[in-house]
Amino acid sequence: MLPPEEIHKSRAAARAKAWCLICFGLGLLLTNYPLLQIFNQPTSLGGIPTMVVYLTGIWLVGIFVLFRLTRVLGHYSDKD
Amino acid sequence: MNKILVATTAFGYLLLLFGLAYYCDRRRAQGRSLIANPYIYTLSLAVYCTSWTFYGSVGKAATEGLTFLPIYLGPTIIAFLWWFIVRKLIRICKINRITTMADFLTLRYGRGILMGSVVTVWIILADMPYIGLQLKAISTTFDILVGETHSQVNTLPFYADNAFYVALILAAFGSMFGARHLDPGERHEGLVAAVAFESIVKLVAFLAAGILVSFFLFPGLGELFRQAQSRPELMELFLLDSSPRNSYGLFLVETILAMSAIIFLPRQFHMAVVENTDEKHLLTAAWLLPLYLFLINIFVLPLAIGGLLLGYPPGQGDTFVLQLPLDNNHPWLALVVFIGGLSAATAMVMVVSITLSTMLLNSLVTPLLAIFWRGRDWSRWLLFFKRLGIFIVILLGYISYRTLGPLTMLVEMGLIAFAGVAQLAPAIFAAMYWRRATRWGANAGLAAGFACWAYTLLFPYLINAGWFSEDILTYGPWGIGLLRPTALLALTDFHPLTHAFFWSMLLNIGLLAGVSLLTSPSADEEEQAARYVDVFSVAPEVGLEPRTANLPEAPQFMALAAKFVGKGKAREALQEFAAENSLDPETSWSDADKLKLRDYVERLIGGSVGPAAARVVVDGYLASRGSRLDGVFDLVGEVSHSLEESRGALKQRVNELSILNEAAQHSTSSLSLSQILESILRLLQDKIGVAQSSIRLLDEDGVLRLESSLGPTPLVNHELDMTPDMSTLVGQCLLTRNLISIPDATQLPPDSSPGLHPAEMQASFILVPLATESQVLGVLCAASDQKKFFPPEQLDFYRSLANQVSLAIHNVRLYEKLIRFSKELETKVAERTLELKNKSLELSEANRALKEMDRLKTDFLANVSHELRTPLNSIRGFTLNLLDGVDGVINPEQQKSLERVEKASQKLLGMIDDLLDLSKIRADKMALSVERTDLLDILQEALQTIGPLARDKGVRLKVDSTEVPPLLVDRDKITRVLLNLLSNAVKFTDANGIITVSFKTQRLPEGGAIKNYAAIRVTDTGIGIKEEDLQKIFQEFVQIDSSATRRHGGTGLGLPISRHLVEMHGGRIWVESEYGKGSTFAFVLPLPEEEAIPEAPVEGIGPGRLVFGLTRRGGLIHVLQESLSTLGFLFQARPMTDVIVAEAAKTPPAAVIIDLLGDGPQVWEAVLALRTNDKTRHAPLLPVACSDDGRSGLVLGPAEFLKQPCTAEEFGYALRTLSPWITYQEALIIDPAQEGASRWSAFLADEGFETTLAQNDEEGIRNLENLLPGLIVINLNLPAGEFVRLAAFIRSQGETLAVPLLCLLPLDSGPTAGTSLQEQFRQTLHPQKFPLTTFTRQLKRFFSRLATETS
Repeated sequence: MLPPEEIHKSRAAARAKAWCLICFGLGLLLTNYPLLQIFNQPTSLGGIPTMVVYLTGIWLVGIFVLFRLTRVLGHYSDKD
Repeated sequence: MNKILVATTAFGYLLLLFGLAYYCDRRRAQGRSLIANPYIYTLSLAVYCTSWTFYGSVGKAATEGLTFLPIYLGPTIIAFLWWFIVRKLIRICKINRITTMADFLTLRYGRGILMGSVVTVWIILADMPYIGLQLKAISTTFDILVGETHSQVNTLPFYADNAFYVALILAAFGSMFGARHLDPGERHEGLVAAVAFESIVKLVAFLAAGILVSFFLFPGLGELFRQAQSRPELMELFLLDSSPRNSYGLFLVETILAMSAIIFLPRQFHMAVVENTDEKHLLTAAWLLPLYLFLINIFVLPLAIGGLLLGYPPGQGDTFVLQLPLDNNHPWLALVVFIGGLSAATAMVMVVSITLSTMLLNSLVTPLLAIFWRGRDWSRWLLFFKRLGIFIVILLGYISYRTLGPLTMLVEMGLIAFAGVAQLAPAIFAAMYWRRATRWGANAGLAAGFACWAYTLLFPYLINAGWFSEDILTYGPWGIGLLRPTALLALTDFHPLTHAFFWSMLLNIGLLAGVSLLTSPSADEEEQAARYVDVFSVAPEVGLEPRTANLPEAPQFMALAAKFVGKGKAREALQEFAAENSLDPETSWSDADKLKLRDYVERLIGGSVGPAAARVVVDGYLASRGSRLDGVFDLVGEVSHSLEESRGALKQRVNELSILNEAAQHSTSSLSLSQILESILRLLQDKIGVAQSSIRLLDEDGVLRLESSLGPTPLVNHELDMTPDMSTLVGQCLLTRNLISIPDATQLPPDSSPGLHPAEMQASFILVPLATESQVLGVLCAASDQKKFFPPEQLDFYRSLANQVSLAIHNVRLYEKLIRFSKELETKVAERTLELKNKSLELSEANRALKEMDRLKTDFLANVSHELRTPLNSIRGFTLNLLDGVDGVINPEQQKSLERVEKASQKLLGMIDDLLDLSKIRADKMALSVERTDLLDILQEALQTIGPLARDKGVRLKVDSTEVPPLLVDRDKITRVLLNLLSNAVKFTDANGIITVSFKTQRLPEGGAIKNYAAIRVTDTGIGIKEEDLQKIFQEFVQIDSSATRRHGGTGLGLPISRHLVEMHGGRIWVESEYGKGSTFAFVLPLPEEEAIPEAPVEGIGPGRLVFGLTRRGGLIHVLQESLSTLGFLFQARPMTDVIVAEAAKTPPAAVIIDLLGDGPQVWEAVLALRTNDKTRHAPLLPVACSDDGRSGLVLGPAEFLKQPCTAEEFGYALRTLSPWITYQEALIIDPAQEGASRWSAFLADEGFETTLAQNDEEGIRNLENLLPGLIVINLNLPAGEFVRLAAFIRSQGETLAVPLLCLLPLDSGPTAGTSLQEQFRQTLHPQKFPLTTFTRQLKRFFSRLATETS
């Protein structure tokens, strides 16, 4: 039996890994047909076309999520 | 702009890069690496953005719209998985010293040359145009900047082509910083620094251009886009799926291709994996690189829109970045942009040339060298070949640029390259995650993938470039429509890229999986697969190599390595290896270690020459040394595989054994059953994780009770008590002694009653019987909340544990029994001891009581005799007085009466004596004073007494005797016996009867021997005795015919006393009689043996120098001899009265010492004997009392003894004997009896003495304290204690020490008196009170006085 800190660590690491996989999948989903079609409108937000805004938006969000996730991964992967 | 300026700037920039790279390399050599931080790492990864990004994306955006985005969105999406994928890649490559992707695949899939070469060729093929593209970009932008235009590049001779020179410079740069030395890790810090720097430059340049366009050429981004919206054709650019050129499918395919390209492009692989210094940097790169990509792409659309809005044709979109600043009066910015583009291009070219050159070397060149140049040392050539490779690669790029068509088509080349590189992805992913992938599968997949890619992408490209006929595209090769390169199997309406991607991936992955499953991996592949897939868990040194003999030593191995990696590196590596494995490089190693080293060296060399070549090299080396490979490879493979399994099983077994060991320790460390049980259950809980466990034990009534339990649910004892039977699981387990395992408790039939608490039946449980060989003790239950927690392999372990627990329980119970028994035993013993103690107390009490009684009896007898005698004496005394005329003259009648009274009192005295004698005899208190006696004397004495009686009766006495030697008997006693018999005879014989006494010697058997006896017979002619009375007459108190008694008188004690007396002498007495005729009483007495003559007769001693001593005691004899000899006397001890008397008669001694404490002759009798014998009357007597140990003594003398009653004459005579000692005429008389006292007083008064009277010792002592007499008269009728006390007092006080004593002998001179006298003396004599020194001094005084007297 591992001591509680190790269990917590490995569980948190597993959680982080799961999030990574989810985000990856999510990323694929968000940048493809059906979802992409939603924003494929000749409309614009503040002058900038919707699609541009959307793609720019999720890109930035994705970067931010990457930033946070890698922090978590780094914290719990010290033992390796 | 000025050409020279631009050229110089460019060249200067390149020099700057050189300098930077050089500087960084130097720093690394010093150990202070500049680039080992995550930001530099990320920037180096930005080499992904080449001039294709710099220029091409704007162009793509201008023509196709948003389709440039997936190239950069893809990497962002895959960045979520970077930490897992790239990290694993990095780990694998670092451990195995892999430097290229081709090596990665080669090592994993069998180390063959084929795969590596195929991969290398294809990659070069795919990337060559990409290099060309960079060169083209540089030259074109240079021309634009300086205002020159060249319509057709192909027409220029190469030496006039700027691009050529750029290529050369880049090649030089590459070889300088990529091939300076053979680094097995292929790390080039300078290169990395340069690339990172260039990444910054290009980002800055692009952003500058973007800002210019967005905020200077246009009022702002919002305005820019609004203006774009006014142009409908521009709006198309912001949508997807508006034409086949921006379909969703293409979007997706591009995204996927970009996802694979960001890792698997050769330059990316090199930068991300090979040049990585710390895995942790990946965490920063994962978000920072997407951010970089985002930043560098912000202004792509604005630039495109701006250009289009400003009227530039979309076809010129690639150069918008440069032209917009240039044409709008920002030439310096344009220069900056140019430099940015230069950076992008040069970074890519340098990295890729080095990477491809390494691939070329490792995968193609060195294997061939190793095979064809075997035996020759080609290691020196490696560096040369590497540099050559760089040049060749760049040259190929230049050639492709020259030959492969216009710029616009080169842009397409980018994606084609992506697609080509993507073919590696399945094989690489399989290598990392799928153990089952085999080299055949990988080879098949790769081959099919590349072929398909070539056919569906490259081929159409070449057709479009004019290399082949266009008909093939429209109608298929040889007219086969289904094989049209861009529409295989009639799959039309797809973008070629999508189409190609689909088919190539299908074939690639399909064949990889299918063929891998159809084939099986070799042992080496399996090992490598494990190494790859389990790189994070397993230590790399798993598995055995094929057995090799004659392995070289460590230094030799390292010499081999040095050829490829340099001496310094080789030495470093050896030390590292030795340290990791705790080995000493100086010593010779075991074969196993050498094999490890071989492996290690192979990998080390592989870093420089690729794994295939490294294998060949090492094998060749070993072969050349005579090391052979045994053909046990396959077997070893099997063994290594099953070793994996058995390692696991072994570990498990070790765990189990350690738990059993701990259990054993717990079992023996305590004698408390509950402690042991609890500790065992705790072991189960801690070491195995058993949630709930319990132990039930059978007690004496056969009820199974819960003894111990552990777990989250506390089990209450008596609720679970049960009598085990076969209906419950617990009962079954107990009765059949079988382990019962229930892997899934929920599967139990609901009506089955296991006999357990619900907490024990949650998911899975086991019941283990606890039993010794002879009896079953109970049940151990272990339960878990997980199903199948107790696998079948573990059940044996539980059985072993149960055995131990059973033994422990058995032992504890035995011990408890033992304790119980021993306690019972102790109690029993204690009880017994107490009983015994009590008994012994009782016994000692009884003993004491008996002793007390005995003493009382003795005292009683003494008192009685004394009491009885005293009045008698009184009677006799006064009678004698009267007869003597003391109280006046008496007339004859009075005389007669008085004589009768006297006779009667004598008779009475006699009778009392008889009684007392009898009781003494019965109490064994009669002592004999043995002396030599002549029977005739006895007879005469007896006759004297009996004669008158016989005469009076008219009975005649006759004596018939023969000579009988003298006997050693008590004279008086035997006389008494004879008298008794004679008087009986006289009594019972009528007148005219005859009594005959006869003696003779007789020999009789006694105790097996014949001894001499004196036989005495008294025969009478009396009335005789009836036969039935013959025995009775010797019994006490029996009188035959009471009437006769009255006639004849007597107490009836005579005969019994006689019998006792005779038997005391060792004789026998009996009677023969005939009733009416007469009787004969006979007794025999043993004759003495020859007697030893004690001491020589005393001749030659002068008169008055001889001293006799009546004693037997050695201690006294010793003392007396010593003392007297110093005084000039000779001391002779004699034990017997008669002897002393005889000798003293012969030789008058100076004195006779009487031992008052001597046993044997009666003291007073001896004294009496000496005083009655005329010859010895005058010998001075000296009575002494000495303790048995001779340490204490008391001299009683000077003393004189008088027999009672005595005449005045005798009294006076005694006085005269004592006169030398009498100092003055004062006397103290101590006499308990008044008449005695007055007698003596009268006598003394006659002699002129003054007298004082005392009745007992106390009075006497009191008197003595006050006055000092010249003489002390003591009547020895005193109780012995009183006399001894008196004597002790008299003889311990200095004044009275020499006062003479005149002792009147006691009437009772029987043994009782003597005994108590002796006892009293013994009690009184004490060395402190009567020290021997005083004793000897008294002796001396006495004898010296004597000497003076006599002389």
